[in-house]
Amino acid sequence: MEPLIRVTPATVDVLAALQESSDPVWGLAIIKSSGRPAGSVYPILDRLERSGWVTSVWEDEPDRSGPRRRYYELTEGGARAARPHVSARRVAVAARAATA
Amino acid sequence: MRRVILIASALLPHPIRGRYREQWLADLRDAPEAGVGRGQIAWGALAFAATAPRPWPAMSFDNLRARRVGFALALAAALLGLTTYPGYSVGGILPAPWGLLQFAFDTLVVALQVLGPIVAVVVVSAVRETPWRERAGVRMLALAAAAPLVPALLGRGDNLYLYPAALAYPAAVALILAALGLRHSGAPSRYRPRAVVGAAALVASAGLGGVSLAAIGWIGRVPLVTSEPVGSALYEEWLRLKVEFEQRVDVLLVASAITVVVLVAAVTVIGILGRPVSLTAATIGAALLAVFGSAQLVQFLVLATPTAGWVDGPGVMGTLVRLATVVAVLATIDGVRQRLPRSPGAVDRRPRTRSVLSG
Repeated sequence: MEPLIRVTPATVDVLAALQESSDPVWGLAIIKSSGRPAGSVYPILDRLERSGWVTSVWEDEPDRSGPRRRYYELTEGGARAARPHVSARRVAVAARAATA
Repeated sequence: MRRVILIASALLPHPIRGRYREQWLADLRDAPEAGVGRGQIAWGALAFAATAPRPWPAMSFDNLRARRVGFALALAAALLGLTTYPGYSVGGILPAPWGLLQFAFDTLVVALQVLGPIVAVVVVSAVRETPWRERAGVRMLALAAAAPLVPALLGRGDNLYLYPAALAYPAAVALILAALGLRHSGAPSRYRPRAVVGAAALVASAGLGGVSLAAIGWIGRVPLVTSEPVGSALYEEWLRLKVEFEQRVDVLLVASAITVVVLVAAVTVIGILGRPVSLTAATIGAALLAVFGSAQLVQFLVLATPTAGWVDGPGVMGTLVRLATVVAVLATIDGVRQRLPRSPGAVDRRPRTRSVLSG
């Protein structure tokens, strides 16, 4: 697994969305739960996957025809590396909310 | 929206195209269910396609070799074509607007001749993983390409440096092609496109510097084309024929040179983007060059005979070299069967997961 050169707030939001679920998460669900536009989420997921933080698999839904959904989940190393970033982000958000 | 997705996925590098096309189409279909706008998916796909990293695609050894050799040879063929113009335009007396075009083109040639070696050496030196053959070849070509500058710096006269430089061209090109094409490396490299551009710049410099000077030198040895008049009447007649000949030739050469510049730019851009169509582009470019080469060969044979029994030797030889290079390009490209990796979506055999949203 490669370290990320730059961890943006949008990346942390995507990591948080992935961390919240113990199951693989549909890309569209990440867009919705992170509150980030698809134009940000798709490149972030791609970068995380290339860096070994995330793996993805096709859905297994025989009842649904047509194109398959892609599901993402953090790797073991990715989950470990994401934890401090997500925690720091939560602390910062909480501090901002307290001062507001 | 579906059309936008298809366009966006078509813009992606081949190895990931199928995977993202299927993923985005599924997202587009299910966007209303997830409460996400379909326009956002389409826009996201376009944004991703525009910014997706394009590393040198992971290909089998044969494909990698074919791609590199084909790409390099296509550029070499294009640049060989390009060198024909400066070689034969020297001494030409051209009416407007062709004179202006000649001036502009000669300026471009000089700029390439000076900047090409510098750019190529800097680029290749900056890439740590450049194999020694490529480094040696690039530096050798840089020295050879500098040959035309020597008489300019030292004054007029015979340029003895030109002869070893001429020998260095094929050796250096062979080294570069060997490094680009025969290096057994399946690992994608984000530096490799830059190395190819550097080598291409060197080939350009070498071609422009060496072949044009060699052609000029050969022309100077032909008695009919010498500036030493045998007699004033004969000289006047020769000058009239020469101007008439060069006016006719230069119109075609300017047109072909402009076309070649466009082709070089197209092949370079498409090749750097790392798409499989670069091979197609190279084929088209080489075929167009072959057409121009054939046309010029005929023209040289017919028009370059102001007196009976005289044939423009450098012109014929230069055109034959260009045609041989084009044939090599076509043989290389067409002779290797493509075995591009299938898209990840097509080869995915990993266990599938259950949907977390579909319940």
